[in-house]
Amino acid sequence: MTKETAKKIRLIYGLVLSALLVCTGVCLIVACLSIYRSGDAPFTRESIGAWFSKIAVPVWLTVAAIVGGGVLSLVLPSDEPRLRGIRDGRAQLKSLRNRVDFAKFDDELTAKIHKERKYRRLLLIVTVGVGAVSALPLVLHLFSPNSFTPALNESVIKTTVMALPFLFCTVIGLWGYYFLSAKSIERETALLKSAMIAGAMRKPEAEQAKNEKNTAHTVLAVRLVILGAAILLIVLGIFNGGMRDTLGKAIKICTECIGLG
Amino acid sequence: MKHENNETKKKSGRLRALIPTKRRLIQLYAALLFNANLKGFANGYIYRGPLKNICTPGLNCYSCPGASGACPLGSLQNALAASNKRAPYYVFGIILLYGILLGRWICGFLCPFGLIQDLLHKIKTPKLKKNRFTRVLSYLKYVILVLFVFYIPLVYVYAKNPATLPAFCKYICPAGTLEGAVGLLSNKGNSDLLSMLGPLFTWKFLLMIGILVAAVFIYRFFCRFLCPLGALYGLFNKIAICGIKLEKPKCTDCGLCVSKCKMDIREVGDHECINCGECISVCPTQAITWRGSKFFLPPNEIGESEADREAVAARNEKIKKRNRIIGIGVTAAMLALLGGVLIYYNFIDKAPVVETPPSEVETTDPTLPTNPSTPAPDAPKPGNSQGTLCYGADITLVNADGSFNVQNNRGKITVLNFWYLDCQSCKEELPHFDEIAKEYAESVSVVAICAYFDAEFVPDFVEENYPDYNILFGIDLPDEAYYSQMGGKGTYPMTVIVDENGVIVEKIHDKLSYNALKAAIETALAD
Repeated sequence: MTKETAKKIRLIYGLVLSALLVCTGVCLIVACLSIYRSGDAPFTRESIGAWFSKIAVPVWLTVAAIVGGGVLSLVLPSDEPRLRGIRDGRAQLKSLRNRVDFAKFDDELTAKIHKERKYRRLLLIVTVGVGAVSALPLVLHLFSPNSFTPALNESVIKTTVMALPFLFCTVIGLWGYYFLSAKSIERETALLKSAMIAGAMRKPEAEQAKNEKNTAHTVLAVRLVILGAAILLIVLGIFNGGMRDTLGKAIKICTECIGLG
Repeated sequence: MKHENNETKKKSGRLRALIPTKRRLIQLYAALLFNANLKGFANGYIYRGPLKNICTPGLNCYSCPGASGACPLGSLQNALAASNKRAPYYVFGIILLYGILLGRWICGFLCPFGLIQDLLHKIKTPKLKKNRFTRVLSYLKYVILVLFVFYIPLVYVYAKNPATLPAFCKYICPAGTLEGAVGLLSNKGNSDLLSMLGPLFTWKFLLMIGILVAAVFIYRFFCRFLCPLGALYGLFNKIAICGIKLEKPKCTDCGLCVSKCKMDIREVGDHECINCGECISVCPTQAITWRGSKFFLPPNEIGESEADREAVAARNEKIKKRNRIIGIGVTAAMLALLGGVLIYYNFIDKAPVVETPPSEVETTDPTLPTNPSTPAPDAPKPGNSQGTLCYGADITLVNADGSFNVQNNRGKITVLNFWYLDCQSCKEELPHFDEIAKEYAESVSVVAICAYFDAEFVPDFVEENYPDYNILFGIDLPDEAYYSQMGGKGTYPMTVIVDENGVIVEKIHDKLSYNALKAAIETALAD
């Protein structure tokens, strides 16, 4: 069997299995909704059993298809895609900046680099501004005394709805920021590379090593502080009854967690 | 010949792919360790013993019948919800400890829900690859962390109308629905809990199905976009003791590691990295290693003379031997731990179910047995379900002298309400019981039996909050024996209505409104 044929079989199988999986998911959702809407105290062993026997066919077909896929993967020639490096522009730029000596750059190059950084800073300010403005209704809602009433479900639904514009604007804003700043990073990276080719000196190796050693010492100190704080908090928690609270909650069925209300 | 050799190699490679990797074995081990209470799946009870004060590192609902420990996220929300009474030092300390020791290595190796998603992703469908958009979307989990895990529980603690609301667990967590709800309700012995299912379960079930189906197409859908525990641990990733390390001097920025990784990382070891180690094999300069791995690797020496080379080889052999011994020792210790835990939870610890025999009761009615274990003909049998003769037990009272036994209260309707101190629903319905007790004082006795776990705090609590109530407050038997005997599986509140003959007429596993309670009393009185 050629690789092309195997690829076609894999694609067809993948599409069929995807359709079956989505179909099974939809069937399960429809079953649950139907049971819920069927009346008072609708969830009984009989009603659940009846509905699940109706959707048994797509479920078993999906299971069979999954097992079939396992067999197919043993029979068909393997298809490991070739990895292509994804260079993160920011990480690459940071790495370059750590290696070059900016004091050796000429004024024109320095101005161009500053321009790119200013541009990215402006983009960030605009993005943060958009996020802050879209967060305003949410913040007002969160700090309003009437937002959180004894009607818990309604309050949480309202909070989620108030959060949606913020989430939407932030996602779009961040995506736009990453897209536009990536272009700027590419330009700055090209400038730094050309400077290095033209003879911009590298930072002395010893200085780089010293920076890394300082970072390692700082990390060790932070680890020790956090570890000490964690142990102290646990001991305090044992004495102030916090551990008892954890046990008290864990040994009872959290009816809210499992959807029993 | 060469072609045949290549084909053979490929076939054996495909077969080798069936053998679980070390990471998969550790994931399975952790899933079994954190759900060691296997008998819970058989008998439908959750583990209620003392070891549940230890939080497991990954997302594992403590309402799962097999759960051997507490969920850190659930414990965090409940601790925050009780922060007006005591500062949540313990849970903060646990999360800090796990974070600094393991970081998101927990996500990659120890989280049972992560394992479920990994296995689902193995299903051979077309996959949605990561991109800039998914990178942006990965910050959603931080919003969920701030809003649902911290803000909402805290705001309700200090609100005008306080309530206990673990918002993430209640509205989002799919692990609770899958492990807790499906795990518990699939047991036939828990059929009476089905009546409690309603709109909340419907929403959570829909969400769970959506997340599980999405996990087939999108690698670790929940972990990448929704998991607040991963968000928390991610903050420690760069400084955690365990995990992946990138040696910058060796790194050539080829980007193969980022390409291989299915998470939304920008660089290896950042807050999105789950420390699975898949990138280690693709790094051409071996710049990616495990932290602390230098101890196990032989130094990179060659040796100039023959004698030097022999000495280097001998040193390397010694290091390999040491590593083998450590490997065997660690494996043996892990297996011993798992074996010990399984034996303890399933054979030694009796915490979940306490089978106390029915107590002997006196009765003036000759048709009813004096000892419920030897029933007279046509008499209702002793039990804890509708139509059976209610088990009796001497319940110590806190707002009256002596004790109360339901079988000594024949001639009146008895309402037994099982509650506990931190149960918001229980405290919301107690005033309804008080009203009923006032309204039907001649014919109904109401006894609110608090969990034995809260025994030392109940008298002061009742005196402070319910000094003028017309209901009797009592404390359950040790290990919640009476609650268990009455069929309680761990859900509170539970209300049992017993008629004048000591026979159970109704058992309710839910919060009762005044009208519902009144209707039940009226029915019992009419019968």
